Amino acid sequence: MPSDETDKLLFETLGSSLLASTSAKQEANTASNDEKMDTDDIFADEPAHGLTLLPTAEYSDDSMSEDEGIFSSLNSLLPSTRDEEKEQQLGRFRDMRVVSDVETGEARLERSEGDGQLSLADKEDAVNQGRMIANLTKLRSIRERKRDVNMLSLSKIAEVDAAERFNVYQQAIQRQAQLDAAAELNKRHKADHTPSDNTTKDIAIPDQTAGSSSKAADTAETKVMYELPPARGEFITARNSNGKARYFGILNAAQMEARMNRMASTDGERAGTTTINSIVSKIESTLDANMEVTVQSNSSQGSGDNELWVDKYRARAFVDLVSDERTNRAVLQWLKAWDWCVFGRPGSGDTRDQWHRPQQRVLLLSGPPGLGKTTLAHVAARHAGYDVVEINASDDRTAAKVRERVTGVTQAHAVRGRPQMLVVDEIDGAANSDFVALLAKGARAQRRPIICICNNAYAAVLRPLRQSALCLTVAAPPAARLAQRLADVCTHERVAADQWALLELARSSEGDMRASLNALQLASRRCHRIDTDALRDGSAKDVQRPLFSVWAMLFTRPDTTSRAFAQSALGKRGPGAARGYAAQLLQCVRAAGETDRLMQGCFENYLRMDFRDLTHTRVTKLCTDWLEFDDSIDAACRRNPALLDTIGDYRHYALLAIHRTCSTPLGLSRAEFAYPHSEFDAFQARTAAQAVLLSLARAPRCLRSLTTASHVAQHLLHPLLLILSPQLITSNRHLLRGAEEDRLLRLVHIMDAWRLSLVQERDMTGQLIFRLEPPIDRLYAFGSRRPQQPILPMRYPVRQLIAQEIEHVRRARYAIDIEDANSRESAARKHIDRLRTDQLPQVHASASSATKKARDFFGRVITKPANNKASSESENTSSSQPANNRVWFHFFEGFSNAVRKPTQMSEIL
Amino acid sequence: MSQIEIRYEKARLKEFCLLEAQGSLETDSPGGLRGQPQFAEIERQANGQVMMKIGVHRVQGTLVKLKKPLAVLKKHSTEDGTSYSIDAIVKEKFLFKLRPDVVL
Repeated sequence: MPSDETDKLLFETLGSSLLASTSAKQEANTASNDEKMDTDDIFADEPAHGLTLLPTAEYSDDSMSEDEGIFSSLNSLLPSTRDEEKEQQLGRFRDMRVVSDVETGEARLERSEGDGQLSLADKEDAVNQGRMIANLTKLRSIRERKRDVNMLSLSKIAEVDAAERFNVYQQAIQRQAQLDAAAELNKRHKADHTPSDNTTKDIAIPDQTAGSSSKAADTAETKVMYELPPARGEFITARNSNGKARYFGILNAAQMEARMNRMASTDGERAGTTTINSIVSKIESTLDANMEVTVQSNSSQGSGDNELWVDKYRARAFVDLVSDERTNRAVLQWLKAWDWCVFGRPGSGDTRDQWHRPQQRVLLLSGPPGLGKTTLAHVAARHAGYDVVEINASDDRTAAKVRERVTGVTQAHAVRGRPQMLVVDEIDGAANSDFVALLAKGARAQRRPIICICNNAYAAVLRPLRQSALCLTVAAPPAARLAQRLADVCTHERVAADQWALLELARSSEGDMRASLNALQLASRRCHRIDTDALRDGSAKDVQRPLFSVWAMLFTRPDTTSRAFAQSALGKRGPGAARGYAAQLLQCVRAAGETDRLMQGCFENYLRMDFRDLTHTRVTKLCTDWLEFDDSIDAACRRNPALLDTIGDYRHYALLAIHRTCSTPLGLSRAEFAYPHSEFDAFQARTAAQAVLLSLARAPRCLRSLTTASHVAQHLLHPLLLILSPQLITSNRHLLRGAEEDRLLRLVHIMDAWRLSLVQERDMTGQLIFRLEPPIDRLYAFGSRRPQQPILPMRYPVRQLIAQEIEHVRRARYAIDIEDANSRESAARKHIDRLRTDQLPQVHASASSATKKARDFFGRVITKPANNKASSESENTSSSQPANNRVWFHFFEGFSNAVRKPTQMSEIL
Repeated sequence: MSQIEIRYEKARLKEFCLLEAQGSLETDSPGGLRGQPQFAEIERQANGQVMMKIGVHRVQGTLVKLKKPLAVLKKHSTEDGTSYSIDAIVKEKFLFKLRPDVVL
């Protein structure tokens, strides 16, 4: 591990705000005591606590290198020593190992085999320097601990009852703090005083037996935290294994640093060795020189720090905008085109227009979230001299309300101040398209610019607007530019930041200014130096990727050993990396949303991929295990949509299983991925078949109300097709005799009754064929193959004969029908004529209504109800023709053709 | 401002019933439906529903109370002006919106 990493580590720990003060510590408990205690602990060998294990797995593989890093950093810091001396000291360090304890967070030095040969002076030196190292390691463990405290489990620390122990080590750092605190606390908690009984103990020598030294360490344990809530400052509450509450004080940055300085100087004097002192001062000077750091702690926050950086560093002037320059200018240009209309200045608007407005009177800004569209709109508006009135997603968006506001803003002249303009944010969230249509259409009287902002310009609601508005897409700014802005923010906030990490952040957020700023602010709260490590968690963006890129991710396996991957995924190299990629993939799949479509695509393509599976065992297993699993979940979800929330997510794992089995290393696959269309094909075929079935079901009058499409398919189709396929050989009508003629006539009648006909067509080779219409023979065939047995005689001349016969029959029946209708119509007309000529004048004898006939809505003459005499007459006439005297109910399926017409009072009066 | 005079006598008030159907009544008799003395039967059933029989068809329906009652007005035009009298009121309607069954 590089030395600056260690520095960072050290510094973060020093700056960490968690400090504990003792309630039991007396003023007499001085440095010598601590020193002893420290050395005890440093050299204590406690196998019971699982030595050499470091707290988290992420450190486990590089713990050795980290230790070496500490050595090397110390080595570089050792002051005023010649190289041989350096060598010597380093050699001493190499004899020891820094050991840290999982349970307690303790760190101590362990002697390696060769330690027996060291002289006493050497030992003493080693003790001092070892303590320094131990401090460093300790600091890291404290930092670990602090993260625990802050983030996850307050109670967990106390559970292992080790919090008390690690605070023992903190004493070494915060002696002065304790003196202050103890003096104050002594007054309050006299009962809690525990006299320290190890003041007279000798320095424990590393050669001592493990048992005695560990005992010394145990006895040296003193309560180092408050047992009652401290009166001053902030604190964190925790519970130990006995369930007792303990309070850890939090100190702010200034106090911390002061204490650090005091501690360092007193420590150096007491140790009596210039080495330690100079190491400490060197460390401090290095830190001061290299880093500009603001240590933020919770209690010392000013009110300004509570502001979101996103708001704090929002672009205020046009030149501050980070978004794409060209888009910015286009927006401004468009706004400037309104100048003639709004300000009376010469502008670049459309001169044909009465008000010289630009041709498109609405500007539609689209682009992914966080790129600064809203900011751009506001800044550009202010730059062009407008006041912005914003309509947001949270506002009332009913058409009437919006119309009010829109007309208010865009048509009114401002009485004083700047003219207003309208910014409609998140317009694609508008539920009703009325609103959008209003914006698109109602632009005639519009005298002020309107800017609409949306994420997806192709949302269905925006269609009317898109045609009439000027559409601009805000592109993501280059990562370098974004990183530069982030760096500026960091400088301004006095947060030390790693340029590389900022670039990485900018890249991973895909240009999302808002997300990256938020991530930065969050990270700066957590740690004091921004680097890749600090940004690792929580900076990955939940982006909805296009389906094809998700499929590409699913079917490629990244080279997990490459450095590029480690950086791109912000992950670690080695064995953990594959799992990291899987997690990333899972997140992608979740974010993509369309699990159905994803799965369909995988299912249609996975066998085409170039993955290596010679025996096909893995693919078989995939099918039998995962795809079946997915199918059953899908089926269950379709049956009961409520299950979708609970078990629907498991489908993502099936996709991961496909990834595991079928993925190929990046760049090796040559297989083309095809968009899944089989589902759509099947749907189309089904619709077509359904239409054919329905037309068949409707065909015969007698069956119309009784048959449905499924009836036809299940019971009717097969026998009907058998009936339709009699044996006909002769194609000449005149040569047909006997049974064959009967068969033909029968066939023709059946086809007529079912409204089937044969239509002449050319097939793909240009040959003439007779096709059955509706094509019910297709239903009988599977896919594009021909039906197994021919339906209808297949020969062309025979089909021609059938078609001609059907035509004959139809014509004959049509003639009869027309005749029928004619006679019926004429009878009706005669009757009406008679009614008009005879009865109507009698009914309306009065002169006023005789000339003016009542007309209905469609302008037809209404035949007035005949009076009793007339009706009795008509009854007579109707009874004279009983055959025509039928009434029936004509059911209108699925629609009503009623006409609703507003009527005004003047029509009635 | 014109005033409309509407007169009615409670004793003579008739009550009509609206007939609303998803479909139309058709006839091939020359006099149209008016020529028919009786062309359908409507009967109430035990379950509160209504059944209409027309020719070979049988339609299930319901008796629905109108949200706003309707009045059937008759216009009287005299020299003094126009006045109306209420002939009948409509409070309920038969609603037939189902597909008719065939009575075989």
